[in-house]
Amino acid sequence: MKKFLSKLKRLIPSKRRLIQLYAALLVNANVKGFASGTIYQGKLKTVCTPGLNCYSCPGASGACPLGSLQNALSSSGKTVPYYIFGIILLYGIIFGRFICGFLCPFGLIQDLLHKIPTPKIKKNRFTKALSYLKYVILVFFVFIIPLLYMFRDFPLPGFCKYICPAGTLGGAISLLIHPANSGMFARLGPLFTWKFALLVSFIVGCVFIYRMFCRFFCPLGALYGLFNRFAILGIKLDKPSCTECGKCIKKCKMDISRVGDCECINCGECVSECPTGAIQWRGGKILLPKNDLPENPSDEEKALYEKKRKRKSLTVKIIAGVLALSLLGGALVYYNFIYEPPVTDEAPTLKTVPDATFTALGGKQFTVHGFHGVNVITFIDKEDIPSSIDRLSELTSLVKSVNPSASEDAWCRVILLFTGCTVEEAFANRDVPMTLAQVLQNPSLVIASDKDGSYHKKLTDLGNGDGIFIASKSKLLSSVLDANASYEDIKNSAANANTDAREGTNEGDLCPSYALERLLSEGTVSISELKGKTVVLNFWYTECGPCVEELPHFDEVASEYKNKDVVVIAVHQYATKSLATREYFESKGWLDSDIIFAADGADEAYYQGKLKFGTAWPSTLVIDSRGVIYKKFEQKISKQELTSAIDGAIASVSLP
Amino acid sequence: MSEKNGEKSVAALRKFNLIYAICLSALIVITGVCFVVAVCHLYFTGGDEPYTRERVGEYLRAIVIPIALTVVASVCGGVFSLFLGVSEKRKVGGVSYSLGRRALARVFAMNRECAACEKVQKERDIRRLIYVITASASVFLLVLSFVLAVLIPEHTVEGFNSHVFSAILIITPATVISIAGIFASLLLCSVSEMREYLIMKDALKLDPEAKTLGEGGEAVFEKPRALLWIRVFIVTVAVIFIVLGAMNGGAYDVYAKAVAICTECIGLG
Repeated sequence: MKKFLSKLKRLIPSKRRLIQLYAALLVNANVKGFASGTIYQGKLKTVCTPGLNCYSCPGASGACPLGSLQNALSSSGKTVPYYIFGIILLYGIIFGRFICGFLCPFGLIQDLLHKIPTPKIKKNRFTKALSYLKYVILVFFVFIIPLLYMFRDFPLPGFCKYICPAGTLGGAISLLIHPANSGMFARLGPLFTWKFALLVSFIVGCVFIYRMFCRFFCPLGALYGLFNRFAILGIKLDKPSCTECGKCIKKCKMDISRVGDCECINCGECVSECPTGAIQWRGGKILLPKNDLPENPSDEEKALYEKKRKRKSLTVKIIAGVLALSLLGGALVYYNFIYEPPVTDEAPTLKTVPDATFTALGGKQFTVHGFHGVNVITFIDKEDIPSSIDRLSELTSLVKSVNPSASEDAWCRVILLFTGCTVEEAFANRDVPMTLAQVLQNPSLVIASDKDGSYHKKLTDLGNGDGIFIASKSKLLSSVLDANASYEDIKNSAANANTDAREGTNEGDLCPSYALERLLSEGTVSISELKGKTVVLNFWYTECGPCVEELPHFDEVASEYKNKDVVVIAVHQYATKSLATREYFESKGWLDSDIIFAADGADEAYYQGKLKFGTAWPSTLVIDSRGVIYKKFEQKISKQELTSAIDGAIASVSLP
Repeated sequence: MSEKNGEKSVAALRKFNLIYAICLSALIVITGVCFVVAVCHLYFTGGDEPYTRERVGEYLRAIVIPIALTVVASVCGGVFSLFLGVSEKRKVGGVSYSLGRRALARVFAMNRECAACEKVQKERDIRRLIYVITASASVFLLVLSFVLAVLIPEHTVEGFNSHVFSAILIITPATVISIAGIFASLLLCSVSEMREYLIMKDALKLDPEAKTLGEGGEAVFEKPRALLWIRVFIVTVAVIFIVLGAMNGGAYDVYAKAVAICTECIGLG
C-alpha cells in the first residue's frame, strides 16, 4: 500500500510545474476567446507577457515580446522602439532565463511532451554545437529581416512569419478550429503548409530531445540568456564551495558549460544534486531572514532559529500565494466577465417596403408585392396634377422604355398613386395628360388612389424623405429619388434595384452602406452614393505587412479603371487611424492616387459591425453597380485576382 | 533464490520497458509523418483553394487512427512507467573531464618536460587546427551564399515572399554543408579529447575526490557590488526606455499590432 501511495505521489505536480501551469493560465487568461474564436482587443494588450505566447492566440492576454520586437524594428524608421527594448531589458534583468524555466507556456508544452516515455536523445557535443543556432536565428530572423524590410517601408516579422511554432499552434489552429473562422481557410496556402510541417517536427522532436525548440531555435531564450549572469532571479554558483565534480552538469538536460550560464533555464534541478550545496537560488535573501545565529550556538538556539526561520518562510509563502491567486483570479474575472468586445449600433439599413392593396384605374385590384419585378412608386397630390406634368412625362417615357410591347412580364412597373382623392376625382374636369394617355393600357403602369395618404406616409417614414420610391425585386426600399428626377436617373436606379439580393455580407447580397470618414479630404464617402458604379472596398492598416504589400495593385487598378466607372476605396482600421498620416501617404506616393482613402467608424463599425469580418486584415469586397457583393476576399490578393473580379462585376450587370 | 528471481523479473521489466518505448517512438514518428504528408497532400492537390473545412476534416478523419493509437499508447505508457517502471542503473564513477584538465594544467605549468603533457599539447594543437579550418570554411561559405542571395535581382513587391524564399534556398545548402562540417570536426575533436583524457588519467592517476586548486578569482561582474551597479543601471535604462516608448507612441504601436490577428504570424499569409 505504501509503495502504491508513494507512486501516486509522483502524480502530484512539483512546485515548478505548478508555477508553469499558473503562468500559462495567466498569459492565456482570455479563456472565452477560445469559445468565441476571437482575440482580446482591450488596452491590456499593450503589456508584453514575458514568454513566447502569440498575440493572435484567442486566449492571449498580452502581447508577445518577440513579435512586438520584430514589428518595432520594422517600423524603427518612424518610431524608435524604446518601449519594447525597455520591456525586454526589464524582463531580462529581473528574470533572465528563469522565464524559460518557469513562465513560458511553450516551455511547459515541451516539458510535458518530453514526459512521454520514449528513448531520449541525451545532450552531447553535437547538441552543444546546435545550441548556437538560436543566436543565428536571433540575428537573422529577428533583427536583419525586419530591419531590411524597414527600408522597404512595410513590416515583416521574420521569425514569426517563417518559424514560430507558438503562432501556428496557439494562433492558427486555435482560430481555425472555431466554426466562426471558416473564412480563414481561404487564406491558407504555402506558408501555412510550411509552418504546420515545422510545428509537427518540433512536437515530435520535443518528445525525444529535451526542450528541442528552447535549446536550438528560440531567439527569445537566446536574448534572455544574455542576461542570465546578471539577472536578479535565478540560479547561482558559489565558487568557493564548488569542487567541480560535474554532477550538476551531468544532471542538467540543457547544454550548459556551467550552472547559470546562457543555456541554463534556471529550473533548479541541479540544486539538490550538488553534494556541497554550492548551487543556490538568487534572490533568496530578499525573502528569507539572514542567518543571525551566534558562533557556536547551543541546541536550543539552533532550534529557536529554525522555528523562527520556518515561520517567516511560511508567512512569505502564504503572502506570495495569496497575491498570485488574487492576480490570477482578477485576470480571469476581468478577461472573461468584465471585458466586453465593442458592440456597434447598427444604423437602419435597407428595409422591406410595406405591402398594400389598391384598386387600379379600370377596377382591377393589385398589391405592391404582387409584382415580380421592380416597383417605381410615386405619389401625386390632387392639387399638384397640373404642375406635375413633367413628372408624368418622365414616368411615361420610363414605361415605354421598359415595356415597349406592353407585355405582362416586364421587369419594371410604375405605380402612380394619387393622394387626397380618388383617381376619378383626380381626372375630373381635366383631360388626362396626353403623355399619360398613351400608356394607360400598358401593364407597366398602374394608377390608383391612396386617398388618406397612409401608404404615402409609410413610405416617407421608411425612406426618411419624399419623392420617387424604388422598391427592388426583393421588396427592399432600394432608393428614394427626387420627385423631379429625370427619366435616365429613374431608369438607372430601377435597373440597379433589379436584383433578388437582400442585404447581407456574402457574395450575392446587397452590401450594407456606411458613411466612412475621408482621410485626405473633408467629408465622407459611402457605397450608397456610388450606386451605378463598381466599387472596390479594401480594408487595411499601415502596420499590416500584407495590406501594405497589396495596396500598390489597388492604386494601379484605380487609375486603369477610372474611366470604366470603377471606384476604389481603401478603408483604414479605426484603431490605428492616427498612423495613417498625410506624411505616410506622401512617403508612399499615394497623395495623388485615384484611391479614396477613408477610415472606418469607431470600434471598426463597418468592418466588424456591419460587414461581420473578424479581426484579420486585409479583406476586399468587389461590389457591382447594383450594390451587390460580387466577390469577397478575406486575404491578400494579387492584381490579377482583383482585375478579374472587377471585370466580372462589370460584366455581370447589364441594363435590362 | 528469491533475490535471483527478483533480479530476473527486474531485468524482464526493463526489457519490456525498452520494447514498449521503442514501439511508442515509432508510433509517434509515424503519426508525425502522417500529419506532414497530409498537409503537403492537401496543399499540392487542392488547386486554388487547397484548404477548406471539409477537406481538412476529411484528411483528419483519414489519420485519426494513428493519432488515437499514439495518444492511447502515450497515456498507457505513462501509467505503466508510473506503477511498473524500473529506474535505470546509474553509472557512477570516472573523473570529470574538467577536473582532469585543470589538474593537468597545473602539472604542465610546473613541469614542462612532462612527456604526457607534450602528448596532450599535441592533441590540443590538432583540435585547434580542426576548429580553425572548420570555422574558416563555414564562415566563408555562409558569407559567399549571403552575398549571392543579396545580389539576386530585385523582385517586385508582389514577389517579395519568393525573394526571401530564394534567398533561403541559396543560403540553405551552404548552411547544411557548414553544419555537416562542424559535426564532422566535433566528431574528430571528441576522438582527440578522449585520447587526451586517457593520457591524463594514466599519467596522473587522479583522485576522484580531489579538489581543484588555484582557480581564478571571481570575474569583475560577479563581485556583489559590481553586480548591484549593473542591475541598477539596466533597470534604470529599462524604465526610462519604457517611459520614452509610452511617450513616442512605441507602446501604442505594440497595442495596434496586438489587437489585430497577425495573419503572417499564424501562417495565413
